[in-house]
Amino acid sequence: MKQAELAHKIKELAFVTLIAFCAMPFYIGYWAVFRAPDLRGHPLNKRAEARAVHTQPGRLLASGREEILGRVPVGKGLWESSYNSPLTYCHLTGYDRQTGLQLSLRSLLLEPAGQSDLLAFLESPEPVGNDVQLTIVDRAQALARERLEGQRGAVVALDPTTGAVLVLASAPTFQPAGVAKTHESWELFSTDPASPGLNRAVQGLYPLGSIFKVVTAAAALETGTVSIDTEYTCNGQITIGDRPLRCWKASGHGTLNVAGALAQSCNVYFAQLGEALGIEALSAYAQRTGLFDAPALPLPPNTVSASRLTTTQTGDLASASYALGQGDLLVTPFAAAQIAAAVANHGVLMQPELIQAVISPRGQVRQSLTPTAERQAFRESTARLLAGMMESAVESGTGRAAQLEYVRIAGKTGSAQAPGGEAHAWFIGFAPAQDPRVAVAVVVEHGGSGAGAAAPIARDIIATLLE
Amino acid sequence: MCLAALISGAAALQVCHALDVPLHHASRLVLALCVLVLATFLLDRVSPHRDHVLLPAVAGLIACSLPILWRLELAGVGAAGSRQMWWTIVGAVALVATYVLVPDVRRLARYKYLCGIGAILLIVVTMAWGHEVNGARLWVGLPGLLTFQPTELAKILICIFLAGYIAAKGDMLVARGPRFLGVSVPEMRYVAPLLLVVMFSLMMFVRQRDLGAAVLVFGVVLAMVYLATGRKTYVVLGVLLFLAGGVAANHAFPHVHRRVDAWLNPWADPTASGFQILQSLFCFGEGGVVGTGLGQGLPDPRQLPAAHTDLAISVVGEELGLAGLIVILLLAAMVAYRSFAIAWNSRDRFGSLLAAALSTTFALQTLVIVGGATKLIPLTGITFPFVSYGGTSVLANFVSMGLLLCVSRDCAQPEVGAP
Repeated sequence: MKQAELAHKIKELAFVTLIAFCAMPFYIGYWAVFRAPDLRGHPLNKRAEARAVHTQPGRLLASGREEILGRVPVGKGLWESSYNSPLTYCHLTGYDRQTGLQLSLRSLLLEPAGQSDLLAFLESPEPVGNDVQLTIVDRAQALARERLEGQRGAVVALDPTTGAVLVLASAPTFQPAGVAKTHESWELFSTDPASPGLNRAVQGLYPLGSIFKVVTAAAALETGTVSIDTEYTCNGQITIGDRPLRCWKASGHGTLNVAGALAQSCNVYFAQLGEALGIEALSAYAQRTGLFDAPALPLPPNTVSASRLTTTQTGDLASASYALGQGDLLVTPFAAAQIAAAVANHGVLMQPELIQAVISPRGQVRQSLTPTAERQAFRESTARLLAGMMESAVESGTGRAAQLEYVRIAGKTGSAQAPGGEAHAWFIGFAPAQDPRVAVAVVVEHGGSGAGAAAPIARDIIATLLE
Repeated sequence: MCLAALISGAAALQVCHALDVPLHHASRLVLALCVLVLATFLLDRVSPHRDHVLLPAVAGLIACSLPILWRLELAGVGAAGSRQMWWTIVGAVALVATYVLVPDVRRLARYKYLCGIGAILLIVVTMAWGHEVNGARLWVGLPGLLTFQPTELAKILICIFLAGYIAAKGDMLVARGPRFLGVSVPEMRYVAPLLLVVMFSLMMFVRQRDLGAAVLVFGVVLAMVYLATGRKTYVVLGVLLFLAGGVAANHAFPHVHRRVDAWLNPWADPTASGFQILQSLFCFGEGGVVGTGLGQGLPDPRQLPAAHTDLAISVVGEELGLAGLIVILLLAAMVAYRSFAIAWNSRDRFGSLLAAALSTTFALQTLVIVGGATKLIPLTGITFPFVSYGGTSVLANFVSMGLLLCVSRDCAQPEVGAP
């Protein structure tokens, strides 16, 4: 072979090699640019944690821009979050960036604006996270904590037209800053029988009691089992299967239509509806109101529960118990509030929203709330009928304790039999009845009657929110 | 060369600033580069007729690497920086020594069989007395004191053997022999020594789990066979053979299987087999276009295994970003281009082939580790020449640069000469 020929082949070899060298930056660019967001956010990538220490964490704000979670410097270029109303917001903020919104929103709160945001970088080269403004109304949230003090329970308030969460309170509360400070404090917190770490508003599962009669009534009306004029007579007791079932009013309610039965919360009436509907139809309607789906809140997914049906008993008695909310259906206070919100919003359940806006360090609003309809829980006509019934329940029925002087409230009380003490007290409702802007659910564990323990709290929350 | 010193100096300042290190520490970095500058002047005095771009490009690579390794050392990842500085000095001395002690590179062709046997001996020595690090048996010596990776030098000996053998017998390889499966194969007695050395090295490399070296030797042999015969069918056959061997090894050896699995889907087992490649990808993702800045990345050795050796390039990706990687790849491409230019400018057949083999080794090694670190190909343990930490690696690469300079000195065409 000639030397010139060899030289030519070496040039070919060099050409191929250099092409490979030139292609390499493009391939690396695929990871460094296009896949960078996935890689930076990957849960196994420990850099986010390391970076977080040097990032001025974004603040968590209430809807009026009151600071829920602030930030304090703890050394040269090191930052920590500070809790401004720790007890009021402990279940929302979580502790130590390990739970709550601090965990689920960490990429917003702790990711610096990003290299693409060159202006932000030039203005403050120190990495600063975004502020997150919640839909929570500070005064109402504080009131909810105050009113639940010393009890166990939860308060949820929603804007039925937008799905915005106005109050999300759970009791008992805890001091988020102190939870994991020492081994002892952690032991105390994690073994407390009152489980203060549990966010009862979205994690607590309770029997609904008479609250469920709203769903039963909707199912009965929509399936045509009853019309608004169908009347049954309550003598204070009815035999279902071979077992007697008592109404709460021993002397009986007399002859009632469905509106009267809901207002008076007549067990005999609704037991008969349950018997006629059967468990499957009731479950189907519970499903339509979204009870069995965990609400799409931006909290850590394992801390938001869906309601659940624990056993699968069948038979007339089980159907009747189900219709009265005393069956095996367990519901979160949040889902109960969604029932009220759906009735208030012409049967349309809005997707729950907890974030009002994300505000960049330079004050720009990066994303803001856009109301989205989630599902048609009830027909509009049914919703109108239900709203009227709930209004008369507060006007003249079991919910009179929720009355306010200057606004008309629609609502439903409930007391759900619970083992180990008095019944859980429930109230769901919305106001103003004609043009609803607030829907609430209140549960007080072992509070006795809904009218006594839950309705007054709901009334005050509504009053504060409508101010 | 001065530019390299500048780059390194500026980088050192940045590291000092980012990690709160007293400034006088940084001066040690520049020492190694001063030795390189000195070596260049020395070589200029000895002989002006040689390539003048190769060494500055190498110095550029080292200028980029030393601050990175030093920065890793400050963060507690080995004593890479200081040791690499000494190894650079030793390497520069070895380069000058090679250049001076090889009066005429063409004479090396006479020792081709000696080199082939020497390579095999070095590999056998490693097999027999080596100790394992990270599951690969590559190191010889007293652990912790001074260890040595004989296979790095074996690569150079294999290059000399290949060049010498093909320069002498290459024409026989082209001669029409018996046809086999429609392809004419050369006569066995000419191919046998070649196959013997190659197959033995490959087997041994696979046995001692030095997969990177196996890939490298195979690639260089393929390139040399192409240069000798000019037949693309051989290259295609070789690649097919390699893929078949890869598939077979994937089934036969659990450690190969683990690597291939980690390459195909690192997300499946992100905490064990896929850990290293994922951590490497995280580096590139974190670095983005301009990087986090020297000293601003995550240097924790638990985060990135082999951060200072095989995956130094990932640290570059994180702290200097795509921009830094392009600079380093440009420098490496320049070294590769100049080496190939030395090969095609050589009037001597052996000189051409030797320079081509050494260039291919350098280029392939760079591409294999960059490709491995970015999940283009399975990650194999191999160093980025002059950038990764590794005493023997640096030494061997300097010696091969020395040999390349010898070729440029002894075999250049008179009309091309020195630029």
